[in-house]
Amino acid sequence: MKASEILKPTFWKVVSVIIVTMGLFSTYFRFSRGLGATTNLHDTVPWGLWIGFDFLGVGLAAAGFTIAATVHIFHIHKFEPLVRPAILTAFLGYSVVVCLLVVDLGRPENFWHPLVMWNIHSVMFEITWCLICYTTVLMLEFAPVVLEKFNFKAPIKILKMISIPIVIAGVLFSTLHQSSFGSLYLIVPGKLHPLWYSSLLPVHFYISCIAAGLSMIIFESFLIARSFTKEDGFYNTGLQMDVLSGAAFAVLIALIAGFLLKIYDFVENGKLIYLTIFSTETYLFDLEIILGTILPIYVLSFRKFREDKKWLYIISIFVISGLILNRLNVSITGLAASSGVNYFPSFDEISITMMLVVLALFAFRLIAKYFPLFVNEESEDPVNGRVQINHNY
Amino acid sequence: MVAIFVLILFLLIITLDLLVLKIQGKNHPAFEPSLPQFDLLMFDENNLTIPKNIFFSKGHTWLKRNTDELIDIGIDTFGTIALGTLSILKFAEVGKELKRGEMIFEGSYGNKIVKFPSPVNGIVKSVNTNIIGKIISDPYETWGVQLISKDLPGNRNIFLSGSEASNWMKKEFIKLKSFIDDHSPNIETAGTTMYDGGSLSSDMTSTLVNQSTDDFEKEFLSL
Repeated sequence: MKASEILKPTFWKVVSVIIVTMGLFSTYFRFSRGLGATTNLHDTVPWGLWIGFDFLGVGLAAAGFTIAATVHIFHIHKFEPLVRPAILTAFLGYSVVVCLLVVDLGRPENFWHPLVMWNIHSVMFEITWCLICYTTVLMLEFAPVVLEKFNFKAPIKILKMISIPIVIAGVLFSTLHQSSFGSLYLIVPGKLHPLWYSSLLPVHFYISCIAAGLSMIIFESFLIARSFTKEDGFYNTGLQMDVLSGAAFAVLIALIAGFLLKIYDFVENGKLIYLTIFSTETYLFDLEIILGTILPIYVLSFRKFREDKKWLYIISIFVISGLILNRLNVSITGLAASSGVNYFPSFDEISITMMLVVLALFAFRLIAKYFPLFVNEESEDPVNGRVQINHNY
Repeated sequence: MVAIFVLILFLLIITLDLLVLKIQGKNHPAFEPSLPQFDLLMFDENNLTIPKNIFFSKGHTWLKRNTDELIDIGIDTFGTIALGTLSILKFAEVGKELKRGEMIFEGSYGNKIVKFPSPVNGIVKSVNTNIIGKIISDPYETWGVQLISKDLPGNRNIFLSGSEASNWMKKEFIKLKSFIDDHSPNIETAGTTMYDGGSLSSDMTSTLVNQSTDDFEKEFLSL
């Protein structure tokens, strides 16, 4: 692509440049002036938007392990076109999370301490190690894409040999990691609002991330089809409705499982009474369940809607919205009443978060442009020297 | 309120993107007009009815054992209507020893030529010249080529039949819709007639899949 085309201003390019510029200034202020001067976090509310976004980023990145396991462990090769985009999404999602965690640390220069100073009785220890291990696994899973580009045959061969153990390790780490975010809140039964507090919180987190992660992949497929056009030099980025419809069915199953578990939890623990109390928490909980669970279950139950691209797109937005509400409700809304303080993120918190999201999107586009992410044609197998069909998106 | 703020921001960006596309005169992939012709094909169960004793190759030809070594070969429903109406132009020569994958039929959709590969090795015994240039109304009763081949009994696992074939055929129609969406240089080229529920004419198809025949063959007519 010519430099003139890259520099040609478009609406989203201008918006992105503004967001990144503001984000860079905010990052500078955050590291030069400290958390207290640049955020609305304090001793009563030590965790805010950034932690909420960590939960969100990890939840939406769940398609990485779900799709990889479906294709490589259960051999449902129909979903193979989604593997590479899903793994890249997961990797970038986790990278955003890692960056936000470093920004969020009071002493960011000590970020390496958990590696050597083990506190095996802390849930944070499990989270940290799962985060590190799964990000490493994602790197290994995505490495063949980079190695193929530079035709490094020997490392690809080694990675192919250990691909199944890597995928299994990825599933284990992400299962632990996704659920341990829920476990983190088990230690605050008196502080987290009963609408969200549950001893089943780890299971809720795990099931909801599967539905949302797959919805994210559906949503992302539409973004790819919308933005990565032939005019920009992209090929094989069109919608594969049969694959997406299959993913939507899996979303339906996960949503139903999550909803049934929630009903059981409410009935078993006598929490139904809280639904009748008029409060901000109740309204937000209702919105979360209606938007992110009940409506999607209803629509996805009809096959004609699952095979309709318009409804798939809308429902993927609904499910993602449900996850946004759920994770931010658990991490912020549900704790607000007990803390007695109203928290709203500062400009710097918002701009740094938005900058990282924009940078992740930019990285995705750059990698998609220069690496074989959407290949769907015959090419020579770099390991065996045979002609093979790449079924990637 | 943080949750509501983030949710509104997320929905605002999506709405803004739709508005930007509208101003640019483009369609978001989710809201592009659908192609009723293909919706119809996809859900027309008659197109998915698979006769007994017929095997399907992934190159969209069907095979039926006529006598011990004689196999009737024709083009399946998908092949006959995929991109409009197929017109058979020529067959492999009588007496020729065909290898699996070599051209057995050549046809056209509008002015686009496509080649169907032979599903098995064999010698061409006879060809059905009566169907040249005609519409094939009953694909599974209309064979095009008879091959002398011993390949069918030993290789049944590479062919599809029964419900397996029916499911595969349905997936092929769904895949075709994505293919059309992907290869249409400009969705408007399909013409307003299609969006109003009309038929896909050969001319429209030619425009729609302009220079995409190779992709079509690779995607749908390879074994």
